[in-house]
Amino acid sequence: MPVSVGLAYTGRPRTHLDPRSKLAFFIAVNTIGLGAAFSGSGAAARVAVTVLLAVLLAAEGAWLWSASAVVVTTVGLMVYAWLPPVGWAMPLVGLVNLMARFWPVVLMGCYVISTTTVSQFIAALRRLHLPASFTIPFAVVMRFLPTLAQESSGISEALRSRGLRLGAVKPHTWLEYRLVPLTMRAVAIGDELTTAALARGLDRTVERTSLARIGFGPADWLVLTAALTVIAIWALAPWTPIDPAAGK
Amino acid sequence: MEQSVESKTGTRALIETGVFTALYVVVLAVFGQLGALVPILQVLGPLYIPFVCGVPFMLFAARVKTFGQITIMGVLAAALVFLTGQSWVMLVLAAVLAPAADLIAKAGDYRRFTFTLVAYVVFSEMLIGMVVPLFFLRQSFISRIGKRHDSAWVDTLVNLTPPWMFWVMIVMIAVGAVGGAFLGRALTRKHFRPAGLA
Repeated sequence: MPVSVGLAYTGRPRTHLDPRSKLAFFIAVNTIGLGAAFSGSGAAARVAVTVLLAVLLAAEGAWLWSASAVVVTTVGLMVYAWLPPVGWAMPLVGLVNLMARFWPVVLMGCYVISTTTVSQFIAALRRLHLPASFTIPFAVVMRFLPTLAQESSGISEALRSRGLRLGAVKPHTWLEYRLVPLTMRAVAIGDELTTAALARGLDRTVERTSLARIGFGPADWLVLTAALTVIAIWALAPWTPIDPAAGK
Repeated sequence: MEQSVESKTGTRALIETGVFTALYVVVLAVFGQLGALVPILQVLGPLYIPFVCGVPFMLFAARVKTFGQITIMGVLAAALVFLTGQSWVMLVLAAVLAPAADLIAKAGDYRRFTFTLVAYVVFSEMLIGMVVPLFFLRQSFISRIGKRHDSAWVDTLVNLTPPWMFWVMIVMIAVGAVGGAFLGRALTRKHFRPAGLA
Protein backbone atom coordinates (compact mmCIF):
# COMPACT_ATOMS: atom_id res chain seq x y z
CA MET A 1 0.00 0.00 0.00
CA PRO A 2 2.01 2.98 -1.23
CA VAL A 3 1.59 6.08 0.87
CA SER A 4 4.36 7.97 -0.88
CA VAL A 5 3.44 8.96 -4.39
CA GLY A 6 5.38 7.13 -7.06
CA LEU A 7 4.45 9.62 -9.73
CA ALA A 8 6.68 12.35 -8.40
CA TYR A 9 4.67 15.47 -8.97
CA THR A 10 6.20 18.83 -8.27
CA GLY A 11 4.40 22.01 -9.18
CA ARG A 12 1.17 22.49 -11.05
CA PRO A 13 -0.63 19.66 -12.81
CA ARG A 14 -0.61 20.35 -16.54
CA THR A 15 -4.17 19.30 -17.14
CA HIS A 16 -7.26 20.44 -15.29
CA LEU A 17 -9.66 17.64 -14.55
CA ASP A 18 -12.36 18.02 -11.96
CA PRO A 19 -11.73 15.82 -8.88
CA ARG A 20 -15.18 14.31 -9.37
CA SER A 21 -14.40 13.01 -12.85
CA LYS A 22 -11.04 11.72 -11.61
CA LEU A 23 -12.88 9.85 -8.87
CA ALA A 24 -15.38 8.42 -11.37
CA PHE A 25 -12.57 7.19 -13.60
CA PHE A 26 -10.74 5.85 -10.57
CA ILE A 27 -13.78 3.74 -9.74
CA ALA A 28 -13.86 2.53 -13.38
CA VAL A 29 -10.18 1.56 -13.26
CA ASN A 30 -10.69 -0.16 -9.92
CA THR A 31 -13.76 -2.13 -11.05
CA ILE A 32 -12.33 -3.15 -14.43
CA GLY A 33 -8.74 -3.63 -13.28
CA LEU A 34 -9.55 -5.89 -10.35
CA GLY A 35 -12.73 -7.53 -11.58
CA ALA A 36 -12.93 -7.78 -15.37
CA ALA A 37 -11.99 -10.91 -17.31
CA PHE A 38 -9.14 -11.07 -19.79
CA SER A 39 -11.37 -12.12 -22.70
CA GLY A 40 -14.57 -10.92 -24.36
CA SER A 41 -16.10 -7.70 -23.01
CA GLY A 42 -13.67 -7.75 -20.08
CA ALA A 43 -10.72 -7.52 -22.44
CA ALA A 44 -12.38 -4.70 -24.39
CA ALA A 45 -13.02 -2.80 -21.14
CA ARG A 46 -9.39 -3.33 -20.12
CA VAL A 47 -8.12 -1.91 -23.41
CA ALA A 48 -10.43 1.12 -23.16
CA VAL A 49 -9.48 1.88 -19.55
CA THR A 50 -5.77 1.44 -20.24
CA VAL A 51 -5.78 3.75 -23.27
CA LEU A 52 -7.52 6.53 -21.35
CA LEU A 53 -5.23 6.05 -18.33
CA ALA A 54 -2.16 6.18 -20.57
CA VAL A 55 -3.43 9.40 -22.19
CA LEU A 56 -4.02 11.01 -18.77
CA LEU A 57 -0.55 10.05 -17.56
CA ALA A 58 1.09 11.18 -20.80
CA ALA A 59 -0.71 14.52 -20.54
CA GLU A 60 1.07 15.01 -17.21
CA GLY A 61 4.39 14.23 -18.86
CA ALA A 62 4.72 10.91 -17.02
CA TRP A 63 5.76 9.03 -20.15
CA LEU A 64 7.35 6.08 -18.39
CA TRP A 65 4.30 5.45 -16.23
CA SER A 66 2.05 5.92 -19.23
CA ALA A 67 4.01 3.32 -21.19
CA SER A 68 4.01 0.92 -18.24
CA ALA A 69 0.19 0.89 -18.20
CA VAL A 70 0.07 -0.04 -21.88
CA VAL A 71 2.79 -2.69 -21.54
CA VAL A 72 1.26 -4.36 -18.49
CA THR A 73 -2.21 -4.64 -20.02
CA THR A 74 -0.86 -5.79 -23.42
CA VAL A 75 1.31 -8.46 -21.83
CA GLY A 76 -1.56 -9.50 -19.57
CA LEU A 77 -3.97 -9.98 -22.48
CA MET A 78 -1.37 -11.72 -24.65
CA VAL A 79 -0.32 -14.13 -21.92
CA TYR A 80 -3.93 -14.96 -21.18
CA ALA A 81 -4.70 -15.63 -24.85
CA TRP A 82 -1.65 -17.71 -25.77
CA LEU A 83 -0.17 -19.24 -22.66
CA PRO A 84 -2.31 -21.86 -20.91
CA PRO A 85 -1.55 -21.95 -17.16
CA VAL A 86 -0.09 -25.44 -17.03
CA GLY A 87 3.24 -26.82 -15.88
CA TRP A 88 6.16 -24.41 -15.91
CA ALA A 89 4.04 -21.49 -17.12
CA MET A 90 1.70 -21.56 -14.12
CA PRO A 91 3.58 -19.21 -11.76
CA LEU A 92 4.38 -16.86 -14.64
CA VAL A 93 0.74 -16.67 -15.75
CA GLY A 94 -0.33 -16.05 -12.17
CA LEU A 95 2.19 -13.25 -11.71
CA VAL A 96 1.31 -11.55 -15.01
CA ASN A 97 -2.38 -11.83 -14.17
CA LEU A 98 -1.85 -10.21 -10.78
CA MET A 99 0.27 -7.38 -12.24
CA ALA A 100 -2.25 -6.70 -15.00
CA ARG A 101 -5.02 -6.48 -12.41
CA PHE A 102 -3.32 -4.30 -9.81
CA TRP A 103 -0.84 -2.07 -11.65
CA PRO A 104 -3.41 0.16 -13.45
CA VAL A 105 -5.20 0.73 -10.14
CA VAL A 106 -1.96 1.73 -8.42
CA LEU A 107 -1.10 4.10 -11.30
CA MET A 108 -4.55 5.71 -11.17
CA GLY A 109 -4.31 6.12 -7.40
CA CYS A 110 -0.96 7.89 -7.78
CA TYR A 111 -2.44 10.05 -10.54
CA VAL A 112 -5.40 11.16 -8.44
CA ILE A 113 -3.32 11.92 -5.36
CA SER A 114 -0.50 13.73 -7.15
CA THR A 115 -2.69 15.93 -9.38
CA THR A 116 -5.27 17.00 -6.82
CA THR A 117 -4.71 19.51 -4.05
CA VAL A 118 -6.46 19.12 -0.72
CA SER A 119 -8.60 22.23 -1.28
CA GLN A 120 -9.74 20.89 -4.65
CA PHE A 121 -10.70 17.61 -3.03
CA ILE A 122 -12.64 19.37 -0.31
CA ALA A 123 -14.38 21.73 -2.72
CA ALA A 124 -15.40 18.77 -4.87
CA LEU A 125 -16.63 16.71 -1.91
CA ARG A 126 -18.65 19.68 -0.72
CA ARG A 127 -20.23 20.05 -4.17
CA LEU A 128 -21.20 16.39 -3.85
CA HIS A 129 -23.09 17.52 -0.71
CA LEU A 130 -21.05 15.44 1.71
CA PRO A 131 -21.52 16.66 5.30
CA ALA A 132 -18.87 18.55 7.26
CA SER A 133 -18.53 15.59 9.62
CA PHE A 134 -16.93 13.80 6.68
CA THR A 135 -15.10 16.60 4.83
CA ILE A 136 -13.28 18.02 7.89
CA PRO A 137 -11.69 14.72 9.00
CA PHE A 138 -10.92 13.97 5.35
CA ALA A 139 -9.11 17.29 4.95
CA VAL A 140 -7.17 16.65 8.15
CA VAL A 141 -6.13 13.19 6.97
CA MET A 142 -4.95 14.46 3.59
CA ARG A 143 -3.00 17.26 5.25
CA PHE A 144 -1.66 14.88 7.90
CA LEU A 145 -0.58 11.78 6.00
CA PRO A 146 2.63 13.23 4.48
CA THR A 147 3.61 14.76 7.84
CA LEU A 148 3.09 11.50 9.67
CA ALA A 149 4.94 9.48 7.03
CA GLN A 150 7.84 11.92 7.48
CA GLU A 151 7.72 11.59 11.27
CA SER A 152 7.59 7.81 10.93
CA SER A 153 10.71 7.65 8.75
CA GLY A 154 12.44 10.10 11.11
CA ILE A 155 11.75 7.84 14.07
CA SER A 156 12.91 4.86 12.05
CA GLU A 157 16.19 6.66 11.25
CA ALA A 158 16.72 7.68 14.87
CA LEU A 159 16.28 4.06 15.94
CA ARG A 160 18.68 2.83 13.27
CA SER A 161 21.37 5.34 14.23
CA ARG A 162 21.20 3.98 17.79
CA GLY A 163 21.46 0.40 16.55
CA LEU A 164 17.97 -0.46 17.76
CA ARG A 165 17.09 -2.83 14.92
CA LEU A 166 14.33 -5.39 15.03
CA GLY A 167 16.91 -8.12 15.58
CA ALA A 168 18.89 -6.22 18.23
CA VAL A 169 16.01 -5.55 20.61
CA LYS A 170 13.01 -7.71 21.43
CA PRO A 171 10.05 -7.30 19.02
CA HIS A 172 7.72 -5.81 21.61
CA THR A 173 10.36 -3.28 22.70
CA TRP A 174 10.98 -2.32 19.09
CA LEU A 175 7.23 -1.95 18.56
CA GLU A 176 7.01 0.31 21.60
CA TYR A 177 9.93 2.44 20.39
CA ARG A 178 8.29 2.80 16.98
CA LEU A 179 4.68 3.42 17.98
CA VAL A 180 4.82 5.54 21.14
CA PRO A 181 6.81 8.49 19.72
CA LEU A 182 4.73 8.43 16.54
CA THR A 183 1.49 8.58 18.50
CA MET A 184 2.80 11.35 20.76
CA ARG A 185 3.88 13.39 17.73
CA ALA A 186 0.51 12.81 16.05
CA VAL A 187 -1.40 14.12 19.05
CA ALA A 188 0.92 17.11 19.46
CA ILE A 189 0.72 18.12 15.79
CA GLY A 190 -3.02 17.50 15.92
CA ASP A 191 -3.43 19.99 18.75
CA GLU A 192 -1.53 22.63 16.81
CA LEU A 193 -3.61 21.89 13.74
CA THR A 194 -6.83 22.28 15.75
CA THR A 195 -5.76 25.67 17.07
CA ALA A 196 -4.76 26.82 13.60
CA ALA A 197 -8.00 25.59 12.06
CA LEU A 198 -10.18 27.22 14.73
CA ALA A 199 -8.26 30.46 14.33
CA ARG A 200 -9.18 30.37 10.65
CA GLY A 201 -12.82 29.85 11.50
CA LEU A 202 -13.34 26.18 10.65
CA ASP A 203 -16.05 25.99 13.30
CA ARG A 204 -18.23 28.64 11.63
CA THR A 205 -21.51 27.32 10.31
CA VAL A 206 -21.80 29.70 7.34
CA GLU A 207 -21.18 28.27 3.89
CA ARG A 208 -17.49 28.31 3.12
CA THR A 209 -15.98 29.61 -0.06
CA SER A 210 -12.95 28.17 -1.78
CA LEU A 211 -10.28 29.51 -4.10
CA ALA A 212 -9.75 26.03 -5.53
CA ARG A 213 -10.65 25.99 -9.18
CA ILE A 214 -13.01 23.14 -9.90
CA GLY A 215 -15.70 22.70 -12.51
CA PHE A 216 -16.52 20.59 -15.53
CA GLY A 217 -14.83 21.24 -18.85
CA PRO A 218 -14.95 19.28 -22.12
CA ALA A 219 -12.21 16.91 -20.91
CA ASP A 220 -14.27 16.15 -17.81
CA TRP A 221 -17.33 15.16 -19.80
CA LEU A 222 -15.12 12.96 -21.96
CA VAL A 223 -13.54 11.18 -18.97
CA LEU A 224 -16.85 10.90 -17.13
CA THR A 225 -18.68 9.50 -20.16
CA ALA A 226 -15.83 7.08 -20.86
CA ALA A 227 -15.82 5.84 -17.25
CA LEU A 228 -19.58 5.26 -17.17
CA THR A 229 -19.66 3.71 -20.66
CA VAL A 230 -16.87 1.28 -19.89
CA ILE A 231 -18.50 0.12 -16.66
CA ALA A 232 -21.91 -0.17 -18.36
CA ILE A 233 -20.55 -2.16 -21.31
CA TRP A 234 -18.63 -4.48 -19.05
CA ALA A 235 -21.53 -5.01 -16.64
CA LEU A 236 -24.44 -5.20 -19.08
CA ALA A 237 -22.99 -6.99 -22.11
CA PRO A 238 -21.21 -10.15 -21.02
CA TRP A 239 -20.03 -11.52 -24.35
CA THR A 240 -19.30 -15.19 -24.43
CA PRO A 241 -15.55 -15.32 -23.92
CA ILE A 242 -13.69 -16.85 -26.82
CA ASP A 243 -11.95 -19.74 -25.14
CA PRO A 244 -8.36 -19.78 -26.35
CA ALA A 245 -7.81 -23.36 -25.25
CA ALA A 246 -11.00 -24.76 -26.78
CA GLY A 247 -9.38 -25.82 -30.00
CA LYS A 248 -6.36 -27.44 -28.40
CA MET B 1 -22.81 32.15 21.82
CA GLU B 2 -23.82 28.76 23.16
CA GLN B 3 -24.19 27.52 19.60
CA SER B 4 -20.63 28.60 18.83
CA VAL B 5 -19.16 26.77 21.83
CA GLU B 6 -20.97 23.60 20.81
CA SER B 7 -19.75 23.77 17.23
CA LYS B 8 -16.24 24.43 18.51
CA THR B 9 -16.11 21.16 20.47
CA GLY B 10 -17.72 19.42 17.50
CA THR B 11 -15.01 20.74 15.18
CA ARG B 12 -12.34 19.73 17.68
CA ALA B 13 -13.72 16.18 17.75
CA LEU B 14 -13.79 16.07 13.95
CA ILE B 15 -10.18 17.22 13.64
CA GLU B 16 -9.09 14.71 16.25
CA THR B 17 -10.93 11.98 14.35
CA GLY B 18 -8.95 12.96 11.25
CA VAL B 19 -5.66 12.90 13.18
CA PHE B 20 -6.25 9.40 14.55
CA THR B 21 -7.54 8.12 11.21
CA ALA B 22 -4.28 9.29 9.63
CA LEU B 23 -2.31 7.61 12.42
CA TYR B 24 -4.28 4.39 11.98
CA VAL B 25 -3.70 4.39 8.22
CA VAL B 26 0.03 5.16 8.56
CA VAL B 27 0.51 2.34 11.09
CA LEU B 28 -1.51 0.06 8.79
CA ALA B 29 0.67 1.02 5.81
CA VAL B 30 4.07 0.97 7.55
CA PHE B 31 3.52 -2.40 9.17
CA GLY B 32 1.60 -3.74 6.17
CA GLN B 33 4.68 -3.05 4.05
CA LEU B 34 6.75 -5.36 6.25
CA GLY B 35 4.75 -8.17 4.67
CA ALA B 36 6.17 -7.22 1.27
CA LEU B 37 9.71 -7.77 2.57
CA VAL B 38 9.35 -10.88 4.70
CA PRO B 39 7.12 -13.54 3.07
CA ILE B 40 6.06 -15.20 6.33
CA LEU B 41 4.68 -11.88 7.56
CA GLN B 42 2.41 -11.83 4.50
CA VAL B 43 0.65 -14.93 5.80
CA LEU B 44 0.62 -13.62 9.37
CA GLY B 45 -0.68 -10.19 8.27
CA PRO B 46 -4.25 -10.73 9.50
CA LEU B 47 -2.81 -11.55 12.90
CA TYR B 48 -0.25 -8.84 13.52
CA ILE B 49 -1.75 -5.87 11.63
CA PRO B 50 -4.80 -5.55 13.95
CA PHE B 51 -2.41 -6.21 16.84
CA VAL B 52 -0.24 -3.18 16.00
CA CYS B 53 -3.18 -0.99 14.98
CA GLY B 54 -4.65 -1.57 18.44
CA VAL B 55 -2.35 1.14 19.79
CA PRO B 56 -3.83 4.11 17.86
CA PHE B 57 -7.34 2.70 18.16
CA MET B 58 -7.33 2.18 21.92
CA LEU B 59 -5.88 5.63 22.59
CA PHE B 60 -8.47 7.11 20.24
CA ALA B 61 -11.27 5.21 21.98
CA ALA B 62 -10.06 6.57 25.31
CA ARG B 63 -10.30 10.12 23.94
CA VAL B 64 -13.61 9.79 22.08
CA LYS B 65 -16.23 12.19 23.32
CA THR B 66 -19.15 11.81 20.96
CA PHE B 67 -20.92 9.05 19.11
CA GLY B 68 -19.95 8.93 15.45
CA GLN B 69 -16.21 9.45 15.79
CA ILE B 70 -15.39 5.73 15.49
CA THR B 71 -17.83 5.46 12.58
CA ILE B 72 -16.14 8.30 10.71
CA MET B 73 -12.70 6.83 11.44
CA GLY B 74 -13.66 3.43 10.05
CA VAL B 75 -15.33 4.70 6.88
CA LEU B 76 -12.58 7.23 6.20
CA ALA B 77 -9.76 4.73 6.77
CA ALA B 78 -11.47 2.29 4.40
CA ALA B 79 -11.97 5.07 1.84
CA LEU B 80 -8.23 5.86 1.97
CA VAL B 81 -7.30 2.22 1.62
CA PHE B 82 -9.66 2.13 -1.36
CA LEU B 83 -7.88 5.16 -2.86
CA THR B 84 -4.53 3.38 -2.68
CA GLY B 85 -5.80 0.65 -4.96
CA GLN B 86 -7.59 -1.91 -2.82
CA SER B 87 -11.03 -3.24 -3.58
CA TRP B 88 -14.28 -1.52 -2.57
CA VAL B 89 -15.28 -4.50 -0.41
CA MET B 90 -13.52 -3.03 2.62
CA LEU B 91 -15.47 0.21 2.18
CA VAL B 92 -18.79 -1.66 2.24
CA LEU B 93 -17.71 -3.66 5.29
CA ALA B 94 -16.60 -0.48 7.07
CA ALA B 95 -19.98 1.15 6.44
CA VAL B 96 -21.57 -1.67 8.45
CA LEU B 97 -18.89 -2.66 10.97
CA ALA B 98 -17.68 0.79 12.04
CA PRO B 99 -21.13 2.00 13.23
CA ALA B 100 -21.59 -1.35 14.96
CA ALA B 101 -18.25 -0.93 16.76
CA ASP B 102 -19.26 2.62 17.64
CA LEU B 103 -22.53 1.40 19.19
CA ILE B 104 -20.74 -1.28 21.22
CA ALA B 105 -18.16 1.17 22.55
CA LYS B 106 -20.93 3.63 23.35
CA ALA B 107 -22.78 0.92 25.31
CA GLY B 108 -19.71 0.87 27.57
CA ASP B 109 -19.69 4.68 27.72
CA TYR B 110 -16.33 4.64 25.87
CA ARG B 111 -14.84 3.81 29.26
CA ARG B 112 -15.27 0.13 30.00
CA PHE B 113 -12.44 -1.96 28.57
CA THR B 114 -14.54 -5.06 27.74
CA PHE B 115 -16.84 -3.04 25.49
CA THR B 116 -13.99 -1.23 23.79
CA LEU B 117 -12.24 -4.55 23.21
CA VAL B 118 -15.30 -6.10 21.53
CA ALA B 119 -15.75 -2.88 19.54
CA TYR B 120 -12.16 -3.09 18.30
CA VAL B 121 -12.58 -6.73 17.25
CA VAL B 122 -15.69 -5.79 15.24
CA PHE B 123 -13.91 -2.73 13.81
CA SER B 124 -10.87 -4.76 12.74
CA GLU B 125 -12.91 -7.33 10.83
CA MET B 126 -13.28 -4.80 8.02
CA LEU B 127 -9.65 -5.58 7.14
CA ILE B 128 -10.87 -8.89 5.71
CA GLY B 129 -12.20 -6.79 2.82
CA MET B 130 -8.65 -6.50 1.52
CA VAL B 131 -8.40 -10.24 0.81
CA VAL B 132 -12.02 -10.86 -0.25
CA PRO B 133 -11.36 -10.16 -3.97
CA LEU B 134 -8.30 -12.41 -3.92
CA PHE B 135 -10.38 -15.33 -2.74
CA PHE B 136 -13.36 -14.32 -4.83
CA LEU B 137 -11.27 -13.96 -7.98
CA ARG B 138 -9.62 -17.29 -7.38
CA GLN B 139 -12.94 -19.01 -6.85
CA SER B 140 -14.28 -17.76 -10.17
CA PHE B 141 -10.89 -18.51 -11.70
CA ILE B 142 -11.04 -22.11 -10.51
CA SER B 143 -14.63 -22.72 -11.67
CA ARG B 144 -13.88 -21.15 -15.05
CA ILE B 145 -10.64 -22.96 -15.58
CA GLY B 146 -11.87 -26.29 -14.25
CA LYS B 147 -13.71 -26.80 -17.55
CA ARG B 148 -10.56 -27.06 -19.60
CA HIS B 149 -7.89 -28.45 -17.32
CA ASP B 150 -7.49 -31.86 -15.81
CA SER B 151 -8.70 -32.29 -12.26
CA ALA B 152 -5.19 -32.93 -10.88
CA TRP B 153 -4.11 -29.43 -11.87
CA VAL B 154 -7.22 -27.88 -10.36
CA ASP B 155 -6.62 -29.88 -7.18
CA THR B 156 -3.12 -28.46 -6.86
CA LEU B 157 -4.45 -24.94 -7.17
CA VAL B 158 -7.23 -25.57 -4.66
CA ASN B 159 -4.73 -27.06 -2.24
CA LEU B 160 -2.53 -23.98 -2.53
CA THR B 161 -5.37 -21.61 -1.65
CA PRO B 162 -8.00 -23.52 0.30
CA PRO B 163 -11.27 -21.62 0.82
CA TRP B 164 -11.16 -22.31 4.56
CA MET B 165 -8.09 -20.07 4.71
CA PHE B 166 -10.55 -17.18 4.40
CA TRP B 167 -12.32 -18.21 7.61
CA VAL B 168 -8.98 -18.79 9.31
CA MET B 169 -8.06 -15.22 8.41
CA ILE B 170 -11.26 -13.89 10.00
CA VAL B 171 -10.36 -15.72 13.21
CA MET B 172 -6.76 -14.49 12.97
CA ILE B 173 -7.98 -10.89 12.74
CA ALA B 174 -10.16 -11.39 15.83
CA VAL B 175 -7.28 -12.91 17.81
CA GLY B 176 -4.90 -10.16 16.66
CA ALA B 177 -7.46 -7.51 17.58
CA VAL B 178 -7.87 -8.89 21.10
CA GLY B 179 -4.10 -8.80 21.51
CA GLY B 180 -4.02 -5.31 20.02
CA ALA B 181 -6.61 -4.07 22.49
CA PHE B 182 -4.49 -5.32 25.40
CA LEU B 183 -1.34 -3.84 23.84
CA GLY B 184 -3.13 -0.54 23.35
CA ARG B 185 -4.33 -0.50 26.94
CA ALA B 186 -0.88 -1.37 28.27
CA LEU B 187 0.82 1.40 26.29
CA THR B 188 -1.92 3.87 27.20
CA ARG B 189 -1.37 3.14 30.89
CA LYS B 190 2.42 3.16 30.62
CA HIS B 191 3.00 6.16 28.35
CA PHE B 192 -0.03 8.07 27.17
CA ARG B 193 -1.88 8.56 30.46
CA PRO B 194 1.23 9.83 32.34
CA ALA B 195 1.82 12.20 29.41
CA GLY B 196 -1.75 13.47 29.75
CA LEU B 197 -2.92 12.19 26.39
CA ALA B 198 -5.69 9.91 27.61
